[in-house]
Amino acid sequence: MMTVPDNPIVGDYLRRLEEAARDLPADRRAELVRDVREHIAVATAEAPPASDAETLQMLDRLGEPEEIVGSARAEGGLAVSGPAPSLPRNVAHPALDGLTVALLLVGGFIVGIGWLAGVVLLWSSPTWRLRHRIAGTFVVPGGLLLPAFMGLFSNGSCTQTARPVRSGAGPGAGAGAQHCSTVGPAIGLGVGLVLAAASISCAIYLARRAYLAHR
Amino acid sequence: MEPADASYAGKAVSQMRRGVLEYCVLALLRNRRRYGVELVRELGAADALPTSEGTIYPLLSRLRRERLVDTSWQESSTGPPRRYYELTPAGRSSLEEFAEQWRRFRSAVDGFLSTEEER
Repeated sequence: MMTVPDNPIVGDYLRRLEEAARDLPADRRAELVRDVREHIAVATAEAPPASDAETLQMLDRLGEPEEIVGSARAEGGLAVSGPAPSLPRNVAHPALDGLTVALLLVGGFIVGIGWLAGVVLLWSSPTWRLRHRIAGTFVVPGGLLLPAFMGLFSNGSCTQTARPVRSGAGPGAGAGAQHCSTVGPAIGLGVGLVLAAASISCAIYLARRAYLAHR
Repeated sequence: MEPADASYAGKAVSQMRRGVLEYCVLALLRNRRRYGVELVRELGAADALPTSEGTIYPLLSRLRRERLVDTSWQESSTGPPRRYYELTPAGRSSLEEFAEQWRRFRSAVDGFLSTEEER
């Protein structure tokens, strides 16, 4: 650290500067105090003050500590007066927001509870705006569970009509596939695919938001 | 120092000084690097400092954060080593861009002011 003249007037000035700068971010405060110390050290080395009056003059030209700190706040894009605003009660956490997106997508497979947990997280993290919360909750409730269920259901009805009695895999599987091209199961499969696409799009939309919020 | 007159026009000029101060700093560094006290002295001599000397340091700090200037240490024969400021390529192009815009701005304002005077 740069040595400043061992003068109580200078010491008092620097103490007042540190006091005025106490609500600046720590790195800014340290940098500001360091720069002003350096200024005093260099200025007094170049033109050693002959008296306390001259020291006071030098400090007077330097400016009131409050004024210098005010300038630091303005330059740093920080609040011009008063302490920094306190953090919101719910603090956004990148990992938790990632988990939220994952739970909304595939949490439904965890006996349905996983998706509900995702919804709770979605509505409590400050990362999300109302539009994200509504999209995540209502676009495809249950996430991929619903489209997966529809896909299984259409396959299930298909095998039932094709092979009502025989069990196990065998040559009959081919016949079952042919029967699947009836209208009902095809619609089920189509709707399932659309819902799956919507669910994945929604997850990408939320993931993008989380990424931008935490970048 | 803050101009003594807090008149309406005085306030406008004071705000303008504040706005162009960083480009005055960059311009002082155009041909060679300088240390803090030296910059303050030059600006003060030209009456270009809108406020007290100390307020230049937060400005220099921001210019450094925005990578418009770089700093380096150099020993001195008188007293402590000095922290020198120098232009980065980004600082140089920012200065050139401002100089160009300032020339146009200045001639436009001069044009308006001289027209008004002739009436």
